Amino acid sequence: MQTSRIIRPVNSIIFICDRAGGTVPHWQKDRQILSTDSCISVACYPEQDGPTKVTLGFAGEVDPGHQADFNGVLKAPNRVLTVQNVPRETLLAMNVTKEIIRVQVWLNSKKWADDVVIGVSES
Amino acid sequence: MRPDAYRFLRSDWRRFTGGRQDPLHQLFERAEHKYRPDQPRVPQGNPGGGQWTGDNSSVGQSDPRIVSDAPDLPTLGSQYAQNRTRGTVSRVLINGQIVEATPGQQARLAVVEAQARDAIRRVQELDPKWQPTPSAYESVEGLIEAHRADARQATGRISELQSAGIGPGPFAGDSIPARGPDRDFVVMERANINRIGSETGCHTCGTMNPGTPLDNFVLDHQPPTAWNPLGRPQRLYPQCLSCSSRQGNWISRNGGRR
Repeated sequence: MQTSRIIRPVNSIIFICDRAGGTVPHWQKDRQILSTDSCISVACYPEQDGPTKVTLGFAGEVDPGHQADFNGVLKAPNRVLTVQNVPRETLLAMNVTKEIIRVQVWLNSKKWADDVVIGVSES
Repeated sequence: MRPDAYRFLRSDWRRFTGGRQDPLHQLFERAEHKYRPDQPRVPQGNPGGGQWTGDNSSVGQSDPRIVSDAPDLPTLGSQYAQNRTRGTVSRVLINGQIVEATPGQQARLAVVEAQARDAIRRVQELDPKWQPTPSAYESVEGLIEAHRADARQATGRISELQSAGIGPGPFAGDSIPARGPDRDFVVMERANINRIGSETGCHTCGTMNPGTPLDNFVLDHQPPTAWNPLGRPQRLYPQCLSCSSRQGNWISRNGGRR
């Protein structure tokens, strides 16, 4: 099951992590996606210029058909994967069955992505 | 003492002396009150000729309490006090033990303590739980150095916060009041922030380029909504996209909302 939300996130970034949070990666200039083994940060479309659509679901359901911009594993010790904003409020969430999951992220633009798709694989 | 010695006194000199019994206090008090530029001198040819005298005092009588006729009176008294070996000695409690402090040490201690307190207060307006790393000390000089270390740490923390976009940055110019923490900005607010941004740039890094697809500056709340534990009134400053992203990353890495 996939869920979507149209948002204007504060600071134009979102974080993908376990519901308890994770280790936020250090900021790097001009990098859209940064990650640690427990948190992925994704730069969205600049908030004052327009909204961003964020979709969360299993990879088989949400895969837009082009190569993912990020593909890696993520720790989810509470088995609840969330999308959070800077104040650490949960924007989207989904239950997973494993504590370590594969996460793929697809962006519709290399610089100004206003469509962020997050796919989860548990195998 | 020169007749215009009072000109060299700070208005708050009493903070740095040891009370009415302190000779330094008495000296400064005399400089402040007892002498006037039009005060008469003892006529030449008389004993003590040329010296300043009171209007009704006997000719040549000098004040034995005067301890210095140095041509320049120190403004703060710190250097002067350092060289003094006698005078009022005050006591300071260090590690549960009473340690004697000279008036010079007292004066320097008061200054560095005030500086450290002010710097820490400025940090804690943004980061209330922040405390400097404690220093170990066993003497008055050690205590003075500990206060200096606290002030240095606080200054460093302020710089760190500013570079992360916490607090108005070093390039902050004009700003507009925020109606609240929400981001429901109106056209006039956006226009004003873009105007300010075009004049003074990003308040954090100074760039004139917002780095956004429509060339709009980010309307940055200061203090940041997620980092405003005291609920202080917020203002809006122009910020570039890069600094905004960095600010958000920093806030999240430091625990999110406070």
